Amino acid sequence: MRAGAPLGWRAVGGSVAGLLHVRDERGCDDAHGWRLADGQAIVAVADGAGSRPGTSALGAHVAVEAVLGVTGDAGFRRRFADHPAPAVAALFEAALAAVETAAASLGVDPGLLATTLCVAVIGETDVVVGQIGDGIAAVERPDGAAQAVAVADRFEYANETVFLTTPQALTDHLKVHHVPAEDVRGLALTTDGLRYKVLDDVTGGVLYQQFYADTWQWARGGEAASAAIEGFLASVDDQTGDDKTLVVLVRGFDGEVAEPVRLSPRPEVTYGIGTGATHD
Amino acid sequence: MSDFSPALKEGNRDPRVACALLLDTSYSMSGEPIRQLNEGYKTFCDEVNEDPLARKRTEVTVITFGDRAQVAVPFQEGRDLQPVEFSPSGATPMGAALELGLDQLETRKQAYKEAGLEYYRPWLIVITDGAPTDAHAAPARRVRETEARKGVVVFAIGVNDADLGVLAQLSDARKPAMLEGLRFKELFQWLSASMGAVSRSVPGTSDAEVAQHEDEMTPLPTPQDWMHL
Repeated sequence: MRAGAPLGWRAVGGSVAGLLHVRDERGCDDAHGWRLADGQAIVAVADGAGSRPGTSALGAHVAVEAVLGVTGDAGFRRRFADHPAPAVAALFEAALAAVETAAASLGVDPGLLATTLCVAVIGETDVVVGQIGDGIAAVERPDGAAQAVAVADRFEYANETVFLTTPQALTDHLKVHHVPAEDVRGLALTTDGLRYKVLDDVTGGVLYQQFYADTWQWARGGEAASAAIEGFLASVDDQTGDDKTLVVLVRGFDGEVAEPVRLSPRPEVTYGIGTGATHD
Repeated sequence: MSDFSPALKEGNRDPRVACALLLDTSYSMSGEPIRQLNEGYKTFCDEVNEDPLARKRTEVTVITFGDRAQVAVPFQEGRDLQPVEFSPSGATPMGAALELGLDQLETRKQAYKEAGLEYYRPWLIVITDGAPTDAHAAPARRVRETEARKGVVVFAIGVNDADLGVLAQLSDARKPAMLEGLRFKELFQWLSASMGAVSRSVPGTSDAEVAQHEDEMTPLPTPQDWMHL
């Protein structure tokens, strides 16, 4: 049990294209990934802007990829141990830089690679969750209750949010939640495609406790696997038709870690390549 | 591998997009124009009802302005819309219709808030074949100011001899469009498709960058089938 599991955490998760994206023959604009290594657990989920089809999926992917890349650096563990919240904030800077680099390589405005990003880093003594956008980050407290953390700004209209590429996003809109690791038993990150099913009150952002209790309990079981989450995501009637991502982390589980490292597939870019296309 | 079937929240209601259609039913619309308008509106009702998301997320009110500005169709969901035979008569009290339209949208937004519903930016569609016969400067300014506050999306559409100069006063973000002939059907098909596009839009359509480009808040179908270019 727990062999090879840094800090004793397990991660399972997946992303699937929403029904409307499937109908429109678009791929999945969500991305996710995690790394359980070197005494840390790092997880990231991202949601490429639905209004930028064909390119935003790449933004989501490279943002997650950048987070995993930085956290794979030997210096990150020390930086996080010394200054947890600033270390996580720096991950968003790295993600934005990666998105801008990817946009430049395509010859497009970075806005076409607009994406939200939610990152959680679990160290030996600290847990930090950071978010830009409208993902839903929940931690399982010692009493089993789910608590929403790093809650994003809400705007008046249902289709408004902030992206990594939004001007001043890192200074004005990055939400960071810092809590002692001993106060966290589990964690779940989702993109907004599931919000109608995992929130008890969508306008208030109140979590639906039973969903999280069931999810963490299942993730601790001996047969929990990412494929089952993908099956769930593909079948759930979410009322939105949007892409959906769910990544779950737990400690105190049965069986093996299963997947110490995961990064969702790199999407195919279908718009703007080499055209010099800009956002206007 | 074990199945994953957590409890899910049921009963969260879909977000809404309110749409106020301000239709000129003045006497000058008599004959073929009103017939085409009615046919177009019927098409709109049918096609909104056929869109799986628009039918439950779009809420439409119709305000006619002829004898007077009045609510001809109170707000109702797309799936409940029924064709209406609008009749032409009277002058063109567009100013009163604009005030009534904005009032209706504000009231609807308040109702959404009180009901705990999410909602998209409401739409105000104005279709006229003439020039206002009542005071319209202040109502037009109110429309523009509401638009500037991101409170409404405005589409002004002229038919035949419409005064485009007046329609241009309704929006700083979008020039008025001229209907090609009497292609009301194509116009309403575009409108229903646009309602569908908005209903399908999800967070990710209005960061600060996009906000500078009003037309891009949600990619809409091209209006070339009905717009006079």
